[in-house]
Amino acid sequence: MKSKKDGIDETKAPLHKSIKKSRPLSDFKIAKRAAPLCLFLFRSLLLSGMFSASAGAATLKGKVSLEGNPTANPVIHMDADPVCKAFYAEEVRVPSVLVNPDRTLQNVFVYIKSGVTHTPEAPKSPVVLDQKGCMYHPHILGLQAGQPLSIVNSDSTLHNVHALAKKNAEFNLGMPIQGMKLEKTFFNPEVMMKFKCDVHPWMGAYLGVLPHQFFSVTAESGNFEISGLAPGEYVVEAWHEVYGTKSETFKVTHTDETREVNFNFSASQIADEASGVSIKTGVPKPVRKSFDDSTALNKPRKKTGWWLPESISTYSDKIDFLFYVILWITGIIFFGVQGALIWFLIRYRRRPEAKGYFTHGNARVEIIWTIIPAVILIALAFMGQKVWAEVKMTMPGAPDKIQIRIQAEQFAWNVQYPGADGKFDTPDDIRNINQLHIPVGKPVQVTLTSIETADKRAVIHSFFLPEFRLKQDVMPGMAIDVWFEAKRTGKYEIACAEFCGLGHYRMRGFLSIHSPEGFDAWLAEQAAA
Amino acid sequence: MPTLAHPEKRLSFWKKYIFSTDHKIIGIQFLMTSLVMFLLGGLLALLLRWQLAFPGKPVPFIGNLFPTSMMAGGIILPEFYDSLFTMHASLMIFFAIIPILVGAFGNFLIPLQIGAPDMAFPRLNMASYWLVPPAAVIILAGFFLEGGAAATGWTAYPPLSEFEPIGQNCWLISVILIGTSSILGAVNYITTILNMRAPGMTLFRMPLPVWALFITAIISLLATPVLASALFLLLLDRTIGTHFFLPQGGGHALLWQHMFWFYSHPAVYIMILPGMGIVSEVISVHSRKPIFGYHSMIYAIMAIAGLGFIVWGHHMFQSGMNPTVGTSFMISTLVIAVPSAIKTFNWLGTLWRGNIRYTPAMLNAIAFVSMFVIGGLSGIFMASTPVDIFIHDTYFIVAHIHYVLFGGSMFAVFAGIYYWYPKMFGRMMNKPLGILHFILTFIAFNGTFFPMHILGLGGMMRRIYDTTQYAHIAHFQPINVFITINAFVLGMGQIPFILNFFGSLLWGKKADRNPWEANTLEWSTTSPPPHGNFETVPQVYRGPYEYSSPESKQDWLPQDKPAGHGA
Ligand SMILES: [Cu+2]
Ligand SMILES: [Cu+2]
Repeated sequence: MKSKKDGIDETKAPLHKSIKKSRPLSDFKIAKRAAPLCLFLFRSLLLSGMFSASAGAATLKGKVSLEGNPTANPVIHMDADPVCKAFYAEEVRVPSVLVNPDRTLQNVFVYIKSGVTHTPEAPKSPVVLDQKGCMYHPHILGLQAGQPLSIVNSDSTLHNVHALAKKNAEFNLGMPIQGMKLEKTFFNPEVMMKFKCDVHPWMGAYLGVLPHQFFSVTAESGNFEISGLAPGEYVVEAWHEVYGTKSETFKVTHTDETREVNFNFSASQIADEASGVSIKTGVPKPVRKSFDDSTALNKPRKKTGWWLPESISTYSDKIDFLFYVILWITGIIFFGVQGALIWFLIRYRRRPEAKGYFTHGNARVEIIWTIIPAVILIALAFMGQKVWAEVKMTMPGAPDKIQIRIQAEQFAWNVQYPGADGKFDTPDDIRNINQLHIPVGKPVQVTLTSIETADKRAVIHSFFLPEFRLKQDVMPGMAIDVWFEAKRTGKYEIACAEFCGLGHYRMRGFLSIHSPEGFDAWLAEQAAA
Repeated sequence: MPTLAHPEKRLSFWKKYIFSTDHKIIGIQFLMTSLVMFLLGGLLALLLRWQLAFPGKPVPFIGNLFPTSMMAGGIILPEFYDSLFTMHASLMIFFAIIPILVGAFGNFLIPLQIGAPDMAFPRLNMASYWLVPPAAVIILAGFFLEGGAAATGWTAYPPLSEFEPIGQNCWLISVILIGTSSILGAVNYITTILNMRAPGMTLFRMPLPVWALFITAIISLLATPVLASALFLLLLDRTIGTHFFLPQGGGHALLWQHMFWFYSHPAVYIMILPGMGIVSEVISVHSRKPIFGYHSMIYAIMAIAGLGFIVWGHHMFQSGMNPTVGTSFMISTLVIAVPSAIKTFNWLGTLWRGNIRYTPAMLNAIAFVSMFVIGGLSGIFMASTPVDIFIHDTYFIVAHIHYVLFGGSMFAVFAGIYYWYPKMFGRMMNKPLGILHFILTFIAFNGTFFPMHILGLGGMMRRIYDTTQYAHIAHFQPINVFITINAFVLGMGQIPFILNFFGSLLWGKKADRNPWEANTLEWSTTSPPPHGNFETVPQVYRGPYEYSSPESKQDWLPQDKPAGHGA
């Protein structure tokens, strides 16, 4: 889904045909890959030597620039993982559009798309993709099919590297330990393969798997350079994760010439991630911070020790009351039965020459100890039914109740608010991942569904708010409503209580209970963003 | 009508001990196989307890022996952790507790206690055992396949189980085989009990283990086919692309839960009723008293079996099933506690004014009563739908099931082994080692599982690889460490049992016919009984629990002793 369709927004940039003296087929590849293996070095030199000797090698150079003002990269909210959050004192953004001061564009993958006839053997030394500071390093990378990719976790948290491969085998592997390494090799060319982390939704990297080594990634200078090209006709393509692709054709006639191709992307034309279709961007809206709700949100939780967690919903006390009623009843029975047991064991221990008391039972006591438990248990059923009906069988009738949709996916909670128009699935909807915001003192009705995304299956989850005493399984194919009303403000958590796969234990959401004014301000802020 | 025991034929070793049709050998085969699986399941539990107490710390000593698909540098990976809890439960339920209680004790006891020379269908019986080893190999093979062993919990809820790697297929095929074994066993037990009782052995003169196994077999026969169908449908979904449990093809994931729990709730009774029978027997013998309320014990077993078929929905209160249906399941579930209470009071009534002898068997039987009370009472919390909203899918459930299946079933298994070992192998087990095993197990069991109630009340979810990250449960970590230490003691505590079990085979004191001075028929033949069980067809004159009867000078009166002889 990452590879952009060809020929999108083809505004042909003029082909600069400045022919310059090129470096002899340089150690470019070798230097860049910093191959540690002597054998590999030797072989590459030999190969390049052969090329330069027989056919020579041309170089392609160029620059990628961006016109117009790009929209700001999205801010990353790392609240879901405190380990990640601790890495950054300041705001972090997704490194998707990085523009240099001279208007050149970073992180563009420039590669020879067609025309390469000689494909040397793939290097044995791996290309490294590091998961560090809860980001992938590098963000854009390339390698030759058959060359290993070494995936490293440098963080002390779980990463789950998920390669959304289309032409190679897709994989999805948990890497819970700092220093853990994983080696993967791809045998089919694929431009570009997206890597994402199933634990940290903001993490992304793009890998270009090519049949050769003729590629380059633009950096601070916005320049690229591909060398070692034999004479022939080539198509070069520049790929950017937001702006899509552009390609040019060029010809190499002399063995040692240097050709120049420049690419120019426009900030107003972006490629849709799913379809690759070019779309116009809107003008970014200013974000306004209107209200400081931090006192309400930072109200400390009550310490509860090794017992039930704090009880903060309108019905949680009723559930707890029922719990204590059962605890008392069962507690009394427990001590009664165990006490009688121990008493009998001591009192009636073996006495030599004695016999037991010969009785086959007593109908009257049998009836008594059948009826008493039956009465108690039926009474408990009636007591339970009242609370059960309140929590699960009725939804709040209040016209001003807050309506929210939560779509559970493996392994995150997608939160959706209807926005100002009060209707879902309209452009003003507010969407969040793992962040549920609600006001205090107002009933909230949540519609739970389980969704599948490109690579995730719709499975059963369970929406669990421990402090609210609410739990409801999220069933694929069903939309289930639950409701709750908070009695206090503060920050709490959403847990997934039904095993839903590898990342189940990290399927943690965050619940912010605002003051009423704070919630309105938050909604306004979200609507503006 | 059973005829005289056939004379001992000369059989080859293979015929006699491996492909035997003798119910006693088959019983012992079930016993040995399930004990091995019990130890294996226990080891898996210790690995996952390590991860829960010390998340991300390498497993000491053995950690580096595991391949990188399971552990990295000795650290248990989440994939492997998921396989661990799935396989722990699957092995314990399908390969340890059910085969021990039903397969081992059912086979060994039923013909002996009803005075029959063997089972009604000996070859069917052999087939029922010989489905177990291949099933065990298949389910364990998952560990060595790409993607590891099944990792969706022993409940294997679809849709998740539809998409997991090949190990899930192994799990499904294996459990289908085990289910088939249960069905074959059940047919055999029912037929044997109805048709092959010795003269005079009326239904209401049958010992309680036979009654319990009889009702259990009926439950098995009615419920297991439903599980087998569910497993088969899931296998079809996974292999040929049907959509029985997938909403996108018109199927429904809740369908699995209904079918699965329609079997698996009665399965809890499959795992506890035979234990209740064993415990009733052991308590009556050791109290030297008739069982208190013999008839009400039987009616209670029947009531549990009947009600057991209409309570399965209590596993699904929070599943999205209509909450009104939840109400009816709440009522039936609370009502099923009544027969359990009757049984408990009857055991107390049996102990009352007894002349109690303490042996390892009796200690384990008493522990059963005491622990079953806890497991039964904690069930009331879950039966109450509103309280269940909070404790569903937490460690409270884990605590409850272990009080029922370990505190209940396993203590009954130990009681049964200590009690019938002399009859099975003709030798006595060592008493001090037995008492040591009991004390270690009892204390460490409670140390392991009681604190799990507290974790559950704190809201700690089940099946979580690392519980330390949630704010509402992070502070419970010391309890997790405490539990893990106890779990290791519990594991170590089984060493005296293993030594005792195998050591006594070689060095145990030779057992005479009736070491416990018990009444039931198995004690009137030799230890171990010959092929065909009885020298002559026993004639039954009275019920099984006439201890301390004024008719007899001694405090026991065997079922086959003609009246007037002992006075
Ligand atoms: Cu990550
Ligand atoms: Cu989940």
